[in-house]
Amino acid sequence: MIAIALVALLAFTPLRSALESSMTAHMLVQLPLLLLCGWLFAARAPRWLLSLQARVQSWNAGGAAGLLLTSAIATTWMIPRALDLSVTSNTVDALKFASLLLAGVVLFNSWRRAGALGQAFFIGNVTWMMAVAGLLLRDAPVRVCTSYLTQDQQYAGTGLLLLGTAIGVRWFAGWLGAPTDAASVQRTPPLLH
Amino acid sequence: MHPAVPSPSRRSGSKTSLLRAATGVAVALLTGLLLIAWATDGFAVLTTDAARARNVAATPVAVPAVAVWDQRGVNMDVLHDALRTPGQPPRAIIVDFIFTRCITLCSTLAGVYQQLQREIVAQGLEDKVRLLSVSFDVEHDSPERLARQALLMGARPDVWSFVTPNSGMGRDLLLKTFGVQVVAEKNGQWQHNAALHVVNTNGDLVRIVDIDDPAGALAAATAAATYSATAGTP
Repeated sequence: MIAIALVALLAFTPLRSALESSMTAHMLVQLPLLLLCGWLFAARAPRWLLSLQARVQSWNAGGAAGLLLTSAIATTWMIPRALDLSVTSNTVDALKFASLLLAGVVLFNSWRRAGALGQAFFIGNVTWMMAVAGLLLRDAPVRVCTSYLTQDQQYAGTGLLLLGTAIGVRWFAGWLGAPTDAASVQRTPPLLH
Repeated sequence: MHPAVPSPSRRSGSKTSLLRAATGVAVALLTGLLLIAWATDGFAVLTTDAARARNVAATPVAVPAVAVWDQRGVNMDVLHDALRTPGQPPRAIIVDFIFTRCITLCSTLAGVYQQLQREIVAQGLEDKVRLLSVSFDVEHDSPERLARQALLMGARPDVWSFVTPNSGMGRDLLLKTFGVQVVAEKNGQWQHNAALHVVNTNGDLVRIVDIDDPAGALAAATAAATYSATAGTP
């Protein structure tokens, strides 16, 4: 319920254009919130989603397919052109909302199954990508998004760099803190508490 | 040395689940690649500007008729009157977008245009290539302000002219056609994507060149003028 209310708030109120009017708010507030909404929705999944998940489960062994899809969706919305298009086109914005919500649901269903190795691979991939994208945005001599100001782009870059690093460090700390006996490998700490 | 042979039923079961897992990964990979390919025009571009330049190079865009004022206060069509001086062959144009109150990017652009003007004169290309600076600041940039700007920049009237659309609608149409997006800053300034837009003698936008490559823009404009002139000769 919270997830649905939050999505409605993000999609159908002036909050959408408010967040999308700044590159920093767009990339560091709206996009992660959409992913979080998907995750929260899956955490309290209604019956139809549970039965759907049960049916597709065998195609997502070890969470590999799910984490791959989540990475690809996250990558897509870090591409400046995709971000620009989502500001100028409602259709693309709808695609952005749908794909990130899906990514959240898929991430929830794949995270625990992936185990420490799969998680390490996913976290390494995503945080590295965020950090590199952040550095590029900070240092770009020109605006990469036609919709946003230079200063905003630099803030967004710094934010991406920090968020990527924070997620990586948080995951690693959780991994270090987890019990080390063999049976606990399947009980790696969740990404979100 | 021989590996343990699993029972047939277990083997076929694990085979199925392996196949399903592999299919899942393949579908996820393909979906992801398709999504990224869509966003990057088939892994070719990362930015809107690059996509725009690529599209224009592949498919020229006709520049619509838009009424503008020039720095003399003469009302004309943005391209066609500026292009076609009676009794002279049509010229290709290099178009940029500016506003005269600009304190940042436009001065870089102005420097590039001064350099282009020097090159055009030095190479004797005045009858082939023309420079056009279009101001999108329709509220402030009166003909007087354009004239002052032309004077400040040392623009030669036969090479480099300044115009402003005489309506907000005309401005929006031009910005859209050329793919220029203007974003307001808090201090009353604007940021906009700057590039050198090459328009051929038919009035088609044929190339968008980075502002750090004026030589490339001049070559493209000369080619556009030569090509059209040759094509136009019976």
